[in-house]
Amino acid sequence: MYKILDFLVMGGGCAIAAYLLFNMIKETFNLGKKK
Amino acid sequence: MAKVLVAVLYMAVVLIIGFVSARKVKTADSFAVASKEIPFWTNVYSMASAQIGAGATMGVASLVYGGGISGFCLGIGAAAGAVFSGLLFAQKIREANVTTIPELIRNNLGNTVASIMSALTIFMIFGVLAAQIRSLGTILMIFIPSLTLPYACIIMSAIMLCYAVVGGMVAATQTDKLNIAIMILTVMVFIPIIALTKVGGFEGIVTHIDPKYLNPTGMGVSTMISLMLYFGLSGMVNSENFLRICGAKNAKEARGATLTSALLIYLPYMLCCSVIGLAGVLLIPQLGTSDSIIPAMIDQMTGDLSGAFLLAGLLAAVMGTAASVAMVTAVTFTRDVVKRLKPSMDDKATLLIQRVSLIGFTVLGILVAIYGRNIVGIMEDVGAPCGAALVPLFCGIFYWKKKMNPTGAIITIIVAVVSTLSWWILKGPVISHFVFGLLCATVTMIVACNLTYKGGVVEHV
Repeated sequence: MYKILDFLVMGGGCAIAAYLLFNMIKETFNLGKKK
Repeated sequence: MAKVLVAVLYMAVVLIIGFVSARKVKTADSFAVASKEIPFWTNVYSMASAQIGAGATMGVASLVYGGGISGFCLGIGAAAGAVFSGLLFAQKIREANVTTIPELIRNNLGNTVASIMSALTIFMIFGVLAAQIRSLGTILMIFIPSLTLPYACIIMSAIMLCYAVVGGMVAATQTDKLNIAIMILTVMVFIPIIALTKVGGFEGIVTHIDPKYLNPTGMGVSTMISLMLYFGLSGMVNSENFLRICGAKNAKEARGATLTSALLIYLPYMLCCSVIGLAGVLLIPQLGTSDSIIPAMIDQMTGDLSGAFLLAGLLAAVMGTAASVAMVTAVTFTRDVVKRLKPSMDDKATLLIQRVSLIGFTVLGILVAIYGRNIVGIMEDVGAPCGAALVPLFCGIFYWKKKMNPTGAIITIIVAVVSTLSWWILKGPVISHFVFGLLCATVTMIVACNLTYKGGVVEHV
């Protein structure tokens, strides 16, 4: 159970961070938008 | 040396962003709410950056470090407040098309009530500003240990002022992106991984920690309820979020951005802060003040260069909130106090006064930061009377509009301020002064508005 908690906190943090940073970069540099 | 260099580099980047953003600022409206064109994700980061200030980052970790897992109640309360803000108010606020809370009150309850609330709101936000300045100073002292608190506060306030004055809300939203990116990596990725690895994961924590830290009600149920209610409800009617909601492109985006920032960033972020605080009990058992647990963890658990980078991230988060609350204070004061006294003031003069008042409030904030007792104490003590009055009025305006009237509202404000201050001065038992004031104000509002309601169209005072 403790291993699952470790995985959730560390893995979850990484996953959320990756998703947010991806969206931030996408919006900042207008990637994926039709001109 | 590496830490000082990174601190200087960080400050330079912040200044450059501020100056570049300044070129977009031409009118008072763009200074205040970025011309109501903030893109969705930029707004999400901006909201999260405003929420993740000293309270969330250092406050939650500090509570868990001092009182165990029960300290996470602050995080639960604050996140719940942010979610309810999105569900109940975001769309309605954006549709109301106003910029500040007093402006909303003026449209619904008239000038007299709005003027009283303006004065109270300014005090509330000012308390938050002073708390952020104190945090900025505390963090800078980790970079440069030879600095004293007053000098550290002055230096960081000057940096914050530079880009906030020049770039206004446009600069704040642009810098928020940088701040939130560094903070997410620091608090949600690097530090939890390093800390959990060093203590042997949750199994290591449970095995070695004093069992009192694992008691879910270790802080005491009444303290936990008070903390949850204060941070939840004050977050629900958060002035900084109000400004960002007004900056959204439309009502739907305002609601979506508020919920996304609360559930995807704010809540997991505070959970990570709690994990850091809990691991800190084992890793740094002897700490002078629990407030500095996160900076101390970064300082002691990482190398020179990476530690400097992560500390810059923490500095970035508090800087974003400080600039944001300073902006809200200046905008509220200019639009709801100065412009009311001199309605003929043109756009150029309004912009000038916004900038000058921003500097004035920051200088006052430095003084309170230096002489105040601690970060959370400044926010809670100064904010309680305003919060106790504002929460019932805010709910009433949107959900009990029919019977809300100026006379009932003024009586509610007076009862809120008097009861909160009395409970605080007399050190009332069991519940906090905020909760006592809130209960008195809510009951008063229901009774007074019913008694003074005359039916038909409400005439504004």
